[in-house]
Amino acid sequence: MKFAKAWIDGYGRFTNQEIGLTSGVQIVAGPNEQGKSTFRHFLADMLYGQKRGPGQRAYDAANELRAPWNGANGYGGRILYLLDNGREIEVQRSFERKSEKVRVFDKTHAEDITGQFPTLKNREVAFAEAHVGLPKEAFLGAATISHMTLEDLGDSQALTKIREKILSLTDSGGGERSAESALEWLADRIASVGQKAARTKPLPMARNRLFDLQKEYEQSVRTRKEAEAIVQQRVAVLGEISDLERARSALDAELALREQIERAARLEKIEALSARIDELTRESFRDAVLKQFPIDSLASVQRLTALADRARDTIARSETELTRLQRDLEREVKRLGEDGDLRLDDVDPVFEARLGDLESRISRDGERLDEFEEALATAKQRLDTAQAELDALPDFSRLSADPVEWLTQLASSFNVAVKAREDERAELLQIGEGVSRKSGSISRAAEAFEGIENFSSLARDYETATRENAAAIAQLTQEGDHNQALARENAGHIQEFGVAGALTSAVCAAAAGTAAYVKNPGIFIPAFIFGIMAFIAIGAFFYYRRAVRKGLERNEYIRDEIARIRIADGAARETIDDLMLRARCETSRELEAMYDQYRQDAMELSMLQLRCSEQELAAAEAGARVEKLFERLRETFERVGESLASAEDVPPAAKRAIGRYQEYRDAKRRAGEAREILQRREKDIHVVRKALDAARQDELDISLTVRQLLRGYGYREEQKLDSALRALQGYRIRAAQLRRNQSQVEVLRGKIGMIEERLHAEREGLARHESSLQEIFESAGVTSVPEFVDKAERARAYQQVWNERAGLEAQFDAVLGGEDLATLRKLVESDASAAAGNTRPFGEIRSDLVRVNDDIDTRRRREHALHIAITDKLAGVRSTNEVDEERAEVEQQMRDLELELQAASYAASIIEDVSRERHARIAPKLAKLASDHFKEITGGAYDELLIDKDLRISVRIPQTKTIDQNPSERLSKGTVDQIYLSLRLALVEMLSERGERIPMLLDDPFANYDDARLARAMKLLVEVGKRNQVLLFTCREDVVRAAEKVSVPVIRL
Amino acid sequence: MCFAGSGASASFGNRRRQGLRDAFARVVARAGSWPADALLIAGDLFENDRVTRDTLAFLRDQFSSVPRVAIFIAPGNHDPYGPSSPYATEQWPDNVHIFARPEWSSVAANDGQLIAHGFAFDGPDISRNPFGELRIDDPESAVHVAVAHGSERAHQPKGKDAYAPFDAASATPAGLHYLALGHFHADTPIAGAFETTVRYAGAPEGHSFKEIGPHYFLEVEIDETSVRVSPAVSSHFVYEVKSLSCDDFNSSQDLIDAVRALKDPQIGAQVLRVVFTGACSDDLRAEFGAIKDVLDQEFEWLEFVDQTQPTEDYEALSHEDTSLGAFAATLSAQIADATDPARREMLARAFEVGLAAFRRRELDVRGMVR
Repeated sequence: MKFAKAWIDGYGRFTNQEIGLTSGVQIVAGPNEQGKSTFRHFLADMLYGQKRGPGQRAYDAANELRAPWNGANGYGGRILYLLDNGREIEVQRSFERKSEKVRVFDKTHAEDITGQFPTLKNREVAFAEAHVGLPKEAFLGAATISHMTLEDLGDSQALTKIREKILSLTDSGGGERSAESALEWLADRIASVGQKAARTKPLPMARNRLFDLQKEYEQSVRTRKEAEAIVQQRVAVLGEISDLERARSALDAELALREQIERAARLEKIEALSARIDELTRESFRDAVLKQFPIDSLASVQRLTALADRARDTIARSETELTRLQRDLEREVKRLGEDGDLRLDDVDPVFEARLGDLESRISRDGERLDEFEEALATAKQRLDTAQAELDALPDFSRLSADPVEWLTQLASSFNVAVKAREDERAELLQIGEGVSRKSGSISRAAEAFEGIENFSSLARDYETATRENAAAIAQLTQEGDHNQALARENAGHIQEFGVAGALTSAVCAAAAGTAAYVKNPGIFIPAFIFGIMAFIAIGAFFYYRRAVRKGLERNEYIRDEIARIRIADGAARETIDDLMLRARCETSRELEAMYDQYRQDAMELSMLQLRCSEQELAAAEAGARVEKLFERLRETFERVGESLASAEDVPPAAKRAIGRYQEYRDAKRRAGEAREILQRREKDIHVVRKALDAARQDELDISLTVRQLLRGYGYREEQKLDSALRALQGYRIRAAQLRRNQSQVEVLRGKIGMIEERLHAEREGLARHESSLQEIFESAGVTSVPEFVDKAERARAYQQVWNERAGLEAQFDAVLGGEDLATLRKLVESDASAAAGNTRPFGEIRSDLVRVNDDIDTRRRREHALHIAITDKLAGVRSTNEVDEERAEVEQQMRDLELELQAASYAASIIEDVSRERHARIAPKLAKLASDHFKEITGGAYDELLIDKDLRISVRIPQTKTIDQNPSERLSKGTVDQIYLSLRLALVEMLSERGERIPMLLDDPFANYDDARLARAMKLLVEVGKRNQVLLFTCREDVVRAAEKVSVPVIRL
Repeated sequence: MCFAGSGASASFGNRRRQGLRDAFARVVARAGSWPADALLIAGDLFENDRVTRDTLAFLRDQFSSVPRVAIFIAPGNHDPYGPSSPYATEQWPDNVHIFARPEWSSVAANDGQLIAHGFAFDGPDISRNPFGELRIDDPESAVHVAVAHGSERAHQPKGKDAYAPFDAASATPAGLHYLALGHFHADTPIAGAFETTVRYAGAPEGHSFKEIGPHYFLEVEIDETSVRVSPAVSSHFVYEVKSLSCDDFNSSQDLIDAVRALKDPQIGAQVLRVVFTGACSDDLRAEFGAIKDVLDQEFEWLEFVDQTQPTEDYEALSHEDTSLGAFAATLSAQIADATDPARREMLARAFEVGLAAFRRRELDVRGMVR
């Protein structure tokens, strides 16, 4: 398919524009913003429309974006294109939303063919799909190459991106994912659902939840059954309660009867109580005067008397203790006076701490000084020893910075040279043997084929002639055999027809004779018939005899011809047969194989001989290198005390020299260490000694100050102590003793004060008790304790009589039970017959009632307990409904997830299969086409693009001749662009092979091309343009110039 | 009542059970305030093997709240009267009479002006079918009503098991004013050549999407000359199934607006199933999960059933010479050949997932909590 012309009524910046297009390559040039991209979009939109998708009627954003700027002349236009079969198609289209339309005309046949194409769900007519052979996405993805796409490829992952793009185009027509990305997406999806091993993913979690719910359901059912049993028990208990309540009602009735009987007895008792109360009232008149005596004060009188006695005893004890303490105080005060001139001022504790610190520092520094001096002596001794060892060894310091490596390298280089020499010699020997072997093996064939210039041609002619002659002989033999068989068959017929002719002739003659003889004309009829039969038989006899003769003649000719062919064949075979004889071959095939082998062996022998010469030179060079190296080694080893007589001496000499160097290095290290220790110890001694002197001076200064201070405090003993620290500690002990004595005096004084206060309080308490006693006596009208006790006894007797009377009155009230006596008498009189009734005793009835009530209570408690048990049993147990519902929900979720898992896995397997098959199918061809294009563009600098079955792109790097799997870092941006263009062109060409040649719309793909590659790319496009139309949109003048150089037409916008 | 298998969540089941209680409470309250002389409950008040202590306590409280209303219960196949059934083991208020045997018995109420007849299922299937055995001895002395559970043959829904099947004509003796029936879940009047008014009130609320629309209880007024039955709405939860064509939806907003338009403000709790039909783009279909998230709060329960057709021409896609085309061709062929519905569903989903994988389109994982 090729675009021929476009008429733009209104589209973006274009209005009433007419653009003619040629069939090959065409440049559409113009500065930026002149409508190149707009024109490209116009062509695509004219073919496919502007709907969002094949199933969506809504317009995509382009509809609004590409609306005519001036709004005039409608929104749309026409295009004319040619199909590969020569038909001219014109498409008219309006993009106006309210009046959208598309018409397709076959200009060749002058007919409207719009109706010949299906209408898609988006109301678009699918003519472009039919003509181009691609849906819109695939066309846009594959056939349009925009500069934006190329711009994205400039980083180190360019080939990966190109691969993704190519994958995307081959897998989904572009604009969508590649199969590989789709598989990754599916893998993520599968992982998000979760396989069996993934514990925290939704599917295994749902499985676990379902298991838990099943257990919960079973537990719920079990619990409900258990609760059901308890419910049955509760129903039984409720029945028992009902029975007991009926029994209680009967007992209540019996109790009422019993109460009436009891009421009569109570009235009788009340009458007796009333008489006794009257009697006691009369008795109490005698001691009525003591009615108000304070009997209650008797206990107070006794208590106050005892308190007063105890207070007197306490006062006596306190006075004794006070006297003893006053004596102790006098003794302590006297002892304190003996240390009267010692001051109790505190010495600043800093002095003691400082002196202590200085003393320990002086001791520590002294010890350290001894240690350092000892270490100094040891280090001096080690230094002397190491220096002596160094003097006894060679001076390696002048040889090399690293003698071990140097010596090792020397020895190693020598070994390598020796090994190389041996290898070269072995190789020479091996090649020599190869030459001998090859010469031997080739001798028979060389002798046989000597003088043969062109055996291949000879063999080919021989083969052709042999095959042709054999075929001719076979054909002639077959014909001869056929003739022979036919002759045999015809000979049989001759005999048959001869006999038949004779017989029928005889019969005919006989019949004719008979007819003539008997003059019966009727007999002539059979004679005539037999005559005709005799004629036919005789005719057949002669026919077959002639045929036999001709067959024999033909066989004679065939025999002659076969003989001639064999003679000619024998002449042609003579040379080859001679060769076969010389070469002792059975067949010509064997001879040919032998010749081929001979040619190959001769070539190999020649190459071996050449290699042998080269190897002799190499072996000689290797030997000379070994000798030279040995001389250098000998000189070097003498400097480290080793002499070399032969090459075998080198390794042990090197080993010894290295050992000696290691001794030298150890000794040097020890000397250095000893020197370092020596310096460090001298420095340490100096520092410690200085610190020791300073500490001693400090101690002296502080000691003088302290001693002066102690003397000032009156502590004379300091002179007897040699250390100021000891004196200070002695003073502190004495001062502490003095303070303890002073506090003892204070304690005694405090105790005396307290006892004096207590004595005063006790005396006051005694006076208070005596005063209270006196007040009680006055109130009772007595003067002494015995008088008070006597009157109190009499008053108590009066009160007992009175109390008895009150008790009887209370009993009277109790028996009456709150009832009015008159009412009681009336009740008793009203039901005198009941009083005579016979019931169980009151207690027995009550006892039964209590028992029944107890039973009811017991059962009520039991019923309550059962109720609680039911509640407890069912508490926290979800209803089976809820569990069932959740189980159903989780099961549904699990089914959904399993379906998702299965569907995603299945989709992945299908995608993997189809994409692998497709990739493997297109990869070789794509690689071949793209390689050709790439080689063309790069002028042969790169000649091979490789694409494996997974469409991974690699490039053979010309400099190294190696295949680079990720050459992006080596390649320039321009080269990467060229790989991409090569692949895209190849892909479009492959897509075109299936049907219509797809036009290509390229948007400035040469941004990073140099002039030479631009020119070559343009030539390539011209070539491609012979098959596929190429519209190249560019704003660059160098591209235009390059196009003009190869006569590519240019349209300027 | 268990709502497992309805596709709804467990929490929805709890709300539905409470909805049923609320509906029952409204019926009882109406009986108390009207005031009704009697409340007839024609079985399946609960399910014996699933009823909880809490439900029984609720029922007792409800019955106690209307002490002046005589309540007659005829146990059905889900709540048969047996020695261990709650009807036998629980203490019911005095105004409740539960028919206990699989044969007709009678109870007088309202000072003898009302006589209620009834029988009980004695197991999940009744041991003997007493329909046709009812006799009214003294029709003039009182109003006679009967309450029973069973399947009237002429109205038996297809595919539903029959329990104590009967013909209405044989079950309506002369003198019986009203026969209250239970078993069918929809309000079902039974007409025929008999004088008795016969009707199924149905369940007070729908139980699934098979029982769409409002549900009722029946207010029955009986005097010497007539029987008047007035259905009153009892349901708060109303199941509805609506269909929406996606042909004209350009975006998810169109679809959201269309579903919102299905909301019925007259319904207290709308349980809505929306069946999407027509052609729907893959992009829009991919939004179904998110759209449902948006709308879930606006309905008591909302579920989507996708019966749309793809807008894309998969046939054309299958002919593309790409891996995607080969994928589409392979799966289309396998889907066409699949006879097992489960495999067909898996293949269709694999097709959908595979396309999404190629097309960089988000696709909800079904069963994944969003």
